[in-house]
Amino acid sequence: MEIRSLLQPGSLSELLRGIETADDKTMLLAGGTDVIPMLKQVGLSSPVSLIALGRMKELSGITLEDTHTLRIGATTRLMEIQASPLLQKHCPVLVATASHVATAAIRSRATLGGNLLVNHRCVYFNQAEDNRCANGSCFKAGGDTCHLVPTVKAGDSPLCRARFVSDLAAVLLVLGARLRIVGRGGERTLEARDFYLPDGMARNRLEKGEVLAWVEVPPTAGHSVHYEKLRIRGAIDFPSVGVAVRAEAGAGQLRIGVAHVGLNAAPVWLELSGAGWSDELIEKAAQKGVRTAKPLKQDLFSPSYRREMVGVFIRRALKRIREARSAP
Amino acid sequence: MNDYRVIGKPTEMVSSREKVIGRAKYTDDLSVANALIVKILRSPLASARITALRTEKALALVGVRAVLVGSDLPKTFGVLPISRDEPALAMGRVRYVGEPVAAVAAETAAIAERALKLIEVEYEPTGACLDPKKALEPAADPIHPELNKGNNLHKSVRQEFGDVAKGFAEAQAVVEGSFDFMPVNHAFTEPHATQVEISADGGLTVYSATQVPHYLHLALSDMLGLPLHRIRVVKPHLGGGFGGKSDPFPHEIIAAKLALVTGRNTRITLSRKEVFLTNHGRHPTTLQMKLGLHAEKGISALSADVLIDGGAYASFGVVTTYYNGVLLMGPYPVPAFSFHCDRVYTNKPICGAMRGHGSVNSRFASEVLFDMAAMKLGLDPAEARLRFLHDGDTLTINQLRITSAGLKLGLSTAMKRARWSEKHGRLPYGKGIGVACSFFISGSALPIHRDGLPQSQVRLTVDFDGAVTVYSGAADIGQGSDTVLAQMVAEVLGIPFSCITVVSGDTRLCPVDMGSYSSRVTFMAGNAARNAAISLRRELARAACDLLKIPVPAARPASEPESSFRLGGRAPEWKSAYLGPNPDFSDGLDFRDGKITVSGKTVDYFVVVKHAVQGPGVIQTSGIYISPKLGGTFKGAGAGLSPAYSFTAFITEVVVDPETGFIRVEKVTCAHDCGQPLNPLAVEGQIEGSIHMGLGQALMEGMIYEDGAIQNASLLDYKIPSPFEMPEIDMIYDLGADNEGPFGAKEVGEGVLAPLIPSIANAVYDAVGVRLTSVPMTPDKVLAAMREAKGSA
Repeated sequence: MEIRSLLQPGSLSELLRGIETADDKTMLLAGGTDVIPMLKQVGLSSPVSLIALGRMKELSGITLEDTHTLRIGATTRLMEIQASPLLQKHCPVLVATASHVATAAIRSRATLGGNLLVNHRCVYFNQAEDNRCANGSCFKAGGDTCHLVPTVKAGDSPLCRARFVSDLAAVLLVLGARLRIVGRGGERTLEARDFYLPDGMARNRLEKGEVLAWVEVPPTAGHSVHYEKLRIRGAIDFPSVGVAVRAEAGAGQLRIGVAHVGLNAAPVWLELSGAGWSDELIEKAAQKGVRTAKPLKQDLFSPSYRREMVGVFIRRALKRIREARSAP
Repeated sequence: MNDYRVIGKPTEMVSSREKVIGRAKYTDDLSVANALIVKILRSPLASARITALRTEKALALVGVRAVLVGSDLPKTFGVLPISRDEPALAMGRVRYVGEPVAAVAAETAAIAERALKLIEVEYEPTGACLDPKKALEPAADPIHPELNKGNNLHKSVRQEFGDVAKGFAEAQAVVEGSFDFMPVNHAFTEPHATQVEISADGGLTVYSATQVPHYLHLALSDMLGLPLHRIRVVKPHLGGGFGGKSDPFPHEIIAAKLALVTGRNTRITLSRKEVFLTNHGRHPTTLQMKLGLHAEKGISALSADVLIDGGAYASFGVVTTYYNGVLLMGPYPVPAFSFHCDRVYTNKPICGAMRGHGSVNSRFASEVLFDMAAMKLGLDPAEARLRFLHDGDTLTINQLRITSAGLKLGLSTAMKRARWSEKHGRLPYGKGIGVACSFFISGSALPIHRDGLPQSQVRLTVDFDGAVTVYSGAADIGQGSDTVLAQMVAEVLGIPFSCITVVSGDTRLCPVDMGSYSSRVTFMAGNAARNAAISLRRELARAACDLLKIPVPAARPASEPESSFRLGGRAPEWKSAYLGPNPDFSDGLDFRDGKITVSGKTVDYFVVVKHAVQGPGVIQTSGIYISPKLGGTFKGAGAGLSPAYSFTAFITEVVVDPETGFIRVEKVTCAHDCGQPLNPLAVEGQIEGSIHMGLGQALMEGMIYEDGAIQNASLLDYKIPSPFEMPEIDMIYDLGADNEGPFGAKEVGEGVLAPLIPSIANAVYDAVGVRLTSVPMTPDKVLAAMREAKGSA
C-alpha cells in the first residue's frame, strides 16, 4: 500500500472541492478500520490518494432536532454512539447494536458512516492478492469470474454476490432512517431502505463526488426494536446473520418490520402486519425472513444453517419484544 | 512440608516488565545494520512441476542484490534426522500452495515485492493429492517418490500389547466410534521472523524466532555447508511458539544463505498469511476407536485406527504418528491395546507439533468413549475415572514408567469443588456438566539426535559482585522458563532473585539444550540448573568455612549419588534410586536470605563470594540432565517415554442453546498434577492459556482448504476465541511433588489442553443428550446432531 496524497479538509466546502479534483484512486477515510486493512489486503499496486474526514466537525456528533428526530453525523465514532445518553434515551437499540460491532479498539476509531458503507465481504475477495490470483480474480477484484456462482457472466445482474455486513444498517432500516448525502449539486436525502444495491460491486446509490453526511432517525416513540447477531465469537466478527426487528402497535394493528444483513448482497427489508401479537404472525415473519435469505458459501457457517438462523432470530427478537411489552 | 523461599511463590516473570512497557525486543524489533529485505515467492499451486524458472528480470531490477532458487540450496532438511525430506526452496516440483519457490534480497521491501513479480515461473500442474484417504491408494506420481512406496504413505505404526480379543471379550461394555478433527494452527502472536548478521570474515549470527536454537544451528550448518562454529543462533524474546517454531524453517535457511551470497545482513518477517502457509499445526485426523470397560476392573481393551494428514513434508510427523497411540496408555491402566496409525503426505501445508502433540485428538475419542461405556454400565463417569486412574510408581503395558500421579486427589477435589454429584444428570435441559482426564510427557526421554550430548546443560558463574549468571540453551518462549531457572538457582543459593541473570537461547554463549518443546524445559533444564547450583553451593560452602575458620562439614556419603539415577538405571531399578524431590544439600550449611550459616555462625553471602573469588577468580560450575534409560525393547518403544508424566482432569459446565446449537462453556474446574508448582503465576498462566487454546479447537478453530489453498489465513477469518468465550476457571494444581523433577516439578505447558475438549463434548451430552464426534463442535454440528437424535428417538 502506498499513499500518494492525503487531504484533510476542515469544512464541507473544502471537502467537496477535494472530491472534485479527485481521481479514481481517491478514497474517503473516516475511522479507517475497513479501508486501511482492505488497502493492505488488496495490496493495490498503484498508490492511492486519501481524503481524511477526521477534522470535519460538521459531520460528527449526535443531536436531537425539534421534531424529535435524531441526527447523527456520519463520522461519529461507534464508541460515541455507545456512550451517548441522548441515544440511550431516545434510541437504545442503536447503542446496543453499536456495541456488537467488532471490538472496543475498533469502535474507538470506526464511524457510523464507515459502518453503513462497509465493504461487502466474500471468502474469495477478502484474500491476499496471490490467493485471489491463484483462483483467478473474481469480478470484484477486477477479474472475470465469480467463484461463488461460477455461472455468472459479465453483464449479468447482480454481478457480485459478496455479502453485506453492516450491523447498524439493519437497525437503521427498521427505524426508517434517512441518509443525508451532500455533493457538488447540493444535498439530497434517501431512505436507508432505498440506499443499497444488491450487488457487491456497485453496493449503493452514493454517486461519485458524493459524501454520506448525516443519518436522521425519525422519532422512535411507540415502537420497539431489537437486534440479534449470529457470529461464532462474542466480539470481533462481522455478522454471519444480523436481524433487526421492529414492532409497532396502533389502531388495532401490529406492524412488524424486519431487516436482515450478512446474507445477501444488500440488506433485506420486510414488512407485515396482523391484528395483534400471535404466534402465527411471528411464524409468518420468520418464514418470510428465511425465504428472502440467499446465503452462499461465504462464511464459517454453512448456508443452510445461516438461513435457518434468520428464522430463529426473527422469532427470538419478536418474542423478546412481546415479553418486554407484556411485562409490568 | 517444604520451607522454600522462592520455589512455589508467585514470581513475576523476569522479562514481564520490559514486555509490558514495550521495551522487550522481539526478532522483528531488532535492526541488524543496513539489512537487505528478504521476500519469498511462493507456489500458487498445490502440485506441479516447475518447467521453467527465470530470475533475470528480477535480478536486473535496481536494488535487487540476489535471487535464490532451489538449486542454490540443493540439500533437504527436517527436524528429525530420520525424515529430512524438505527443500528450503522447491527443487523441480512444488508440493503445496505456499511452498517457497524463489527468494529475493533487495534494498527495500517495495523493491523486493516488485522483484517477486518479475520472477517467471512456469508450472505444469500435476494431480494434487488432497484427500488423506486417497493418499493410501497407489499413486503413479507420489509426492515423495524417493520413498519408493508407490503411494503417499509417510509413516505407518502398528503396535499391540496384551490380549486385545480377550480384553474385549471380558469387557462388560464395548463402545466404538468414528471421530474427525479439522487442522488447527498455533496462532501465536508473533509471526516467524529472522535477521542475519554476517561478520567481515563471513561468520553468521542468526537471530530467529525459534523454540530450539540448537536444531536451527544444526540445520543451518548442514544446509549452508558452514561449520557449526561459524554460526551463532540467538533467540530474542519470543511471542509464543506452541510447537509452531520448533522446526528449522525455509525462511531461516534462505535468509542465512542470502547473507552469505550478498555479504550483507538480511532480515525477513513472515506475514500472518505466510504463518498459516508455514503452518506445522495439528494434523487433521480421522480415527476409529473401540473401548472395552469392566465395572470392577476398568478399561479391559482399547483399539485405535488413526489416519493423520501430514501435508507435504515430514516435520515431527513420525513422532506424531506414535503419540496418537502410545499416549493413550494413561491416565488409566490399559491391559490390552492395539493401535494402527498412518501418517500420509498430501499437497497441503505441513503439519507438525502443536501443544499436546499427537495426544489431543485421540484423547478426545478415548474420553468420549470412556464416558459412553461408563454410562452404559450405569457408572458415574467421574467416579469411574477416579477409581481407575493410574496409581503412582507403575509401568504401563507399553513400558511407560509412571512415577508420581497426583490426579486421584486432583479429580476428587475437582468433583467436590464443582459439586459434580449434585449436578451430573440433574441439570435442566440445555445445561450440562462433563468430565475428562489425560496425561502427558514432561519431556521426551529419548533425544532426537543420538549424539550423546546431555539433554540439558546449565553453566553458572558468580563473580566478585555476587551476581550469578545462569547460562542455558533452553529457550524462553514466553512460558517463563528463564524465571523458573532463576528461581531454582536462587532457592539453592539462598540469595535474592535480583542477584540472578539468565542468559539463554544463544548457541554461542550457552551450553547446548534441546530447546523448548515436548514440555521438557522445566524438568530437564530445571534439573540441570539445580545441579549446577548445588555445585556452586559446595564451592561457596568451602569458602564460607574457610572464612569462618571451621572445617568443612562432611557431605552426605554419595552412596546414592544424584547422578546415578539421572544417568542410568532401567525402569525396574528405579525405586532403589529414590532421592526425594529436593535432595538435602547435605553439607550442614544453611543458605537463606543472603546469609550462610554453619554451626551457628553466620556470614553474609556477598562476603563469602568475595572471599571465594580471591585466588581462583570467577567461579564457574555446570550441571547436566540426562534422562534415565527407560522403556521396552520392542520397535517404537522409545515413543512416549518420559522421566515423568503430568495428569489433568477437567470438569466442565456448559449451556447449549437448543435453537442455535451454540455451546457456551460457563465454568471449568481444572485439576492438573504438575508436581510441585515452581511459579504459581506461570502455572496459572499456562492453564489459562491451554484452556483458551483448547476452547478454540473445541468450538471454532479450523483451517479451511479449497483446492489445497487455505481460505481463512487471517486472524479475522481463522477464529480464535475472544475474551468473551473464556469460562470461569477454578484451578487445582498443588497435587504432590515428583521424586525426580527439580524441586518435584513436572510439566504444565501442554498436558492441560487435551482433556478440555472431550470434557466439553461430555458436558454437551449431559445437557442435550447428543454425542459429538466432529471437532470443532460448531453450532451447526450440534444442531444437526440434536436433530438426528430426535429423528431416531
